[in-house]
Amino acid sequence: MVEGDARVGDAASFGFRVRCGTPLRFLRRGGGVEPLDVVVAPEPAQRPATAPCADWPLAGLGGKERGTLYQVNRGFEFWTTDIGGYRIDPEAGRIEMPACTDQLAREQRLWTTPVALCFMHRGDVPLHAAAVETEAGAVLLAAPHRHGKTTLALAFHRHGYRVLSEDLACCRLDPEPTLLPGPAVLRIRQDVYDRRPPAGAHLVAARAGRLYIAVDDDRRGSGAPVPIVAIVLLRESAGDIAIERTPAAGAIRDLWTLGFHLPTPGARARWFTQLTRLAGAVPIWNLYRPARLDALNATVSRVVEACRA
Amino acid sequence: MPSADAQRAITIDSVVVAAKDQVSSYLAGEVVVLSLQTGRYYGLDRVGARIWDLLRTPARVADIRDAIVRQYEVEPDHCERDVLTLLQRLASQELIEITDGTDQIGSPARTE
Repeated sequence: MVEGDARVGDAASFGFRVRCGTPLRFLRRGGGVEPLDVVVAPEPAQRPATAPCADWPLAGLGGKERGTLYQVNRGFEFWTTDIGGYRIDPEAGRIEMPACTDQLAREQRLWTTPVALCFMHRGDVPLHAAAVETEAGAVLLAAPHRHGKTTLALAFHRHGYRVLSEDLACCRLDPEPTLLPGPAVLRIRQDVYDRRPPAGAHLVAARAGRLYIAVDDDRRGSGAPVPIVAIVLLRESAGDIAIERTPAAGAIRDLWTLGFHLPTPGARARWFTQLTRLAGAVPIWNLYRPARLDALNATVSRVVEACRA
Repeated sequence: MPSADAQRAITIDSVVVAAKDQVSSYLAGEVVVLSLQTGRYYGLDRVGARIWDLLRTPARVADIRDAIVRQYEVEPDHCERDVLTLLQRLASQELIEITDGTDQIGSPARTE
């Protein structure tokens, strides 16, 4: 059996029960509810002739590659300059991936905009954040790209905590805020890798300056929702580690930049309302820490301690 | 390009109301407001939140000032200056509309 194989029936990611005829490497076992069919396009597709609704440089690739989103009849097409086009039908719960030789990069992209469009259709809230499970519940580590989310999540993994999400957090608001675990992978920068994978994880491949570290099956856990106990905003400090509560209204300014929504007034309004509900229901913390590897252990301890209290 | 309201001076006799294309939420006594057109975000403290509450329906600036003076026991001239400053800032963000009459009184703005 291939790890996280979606052909075995109970594979899950972001709350979906994932069905796919081709192996996917980073799924969890059980806990998914709504079906999500992932298929590979039988033949190469063409970009839509319509104007895109959004276009942006893909994170972590030095601005070389771009992602472009088109709204089409029944759903969306998400095109990347390196992998190709994904056809997304959120209503039907179906994503068509492009045929391509780099299956790893294709799966990684699958778990970004394409799946976010599907879980947003379900009413869940996307946030640019890693998530880990402490004794108290899910802790979101929120920050823009290259602010150390993955490195800190990996430090939590080293301390025995479960990594629930690496870069995109799927939050459900009702009946209480919960986190729906995403793919069990960490893409870490080569300069923070100490030449051997941590216990409970293994190196899969290297791509574009990042190493793909897959969490082992026995450390993945299920895809069932985990109550969110804290949102931690990652900030840099020159000196000591400090963690302090911050008022929700003030934190909205930071969280607003970490969301994903379509560029329409209706989508903005929906995202804003969801975000303020989330911020009003979950304690938010500012974490100031030095961006040094030798500070990671102490940082993990401070976060765990604060969220426990 | 800023709207005409954004550039218009607000006086104590102006009638102001929350713009239609905004959405706001109350969070622990404060208010956060988002312009749906510009995507710009604005936060208001507790007194600002009370003023925002009064802006849900068209209101005279003088009436807003009087309500704040009654509630917070602040000196009227000082209060008037602060209210006008805040309203002008909200207008520059296109979060409120300004009229000189009372014809719109009674139509509530959108608040989540």
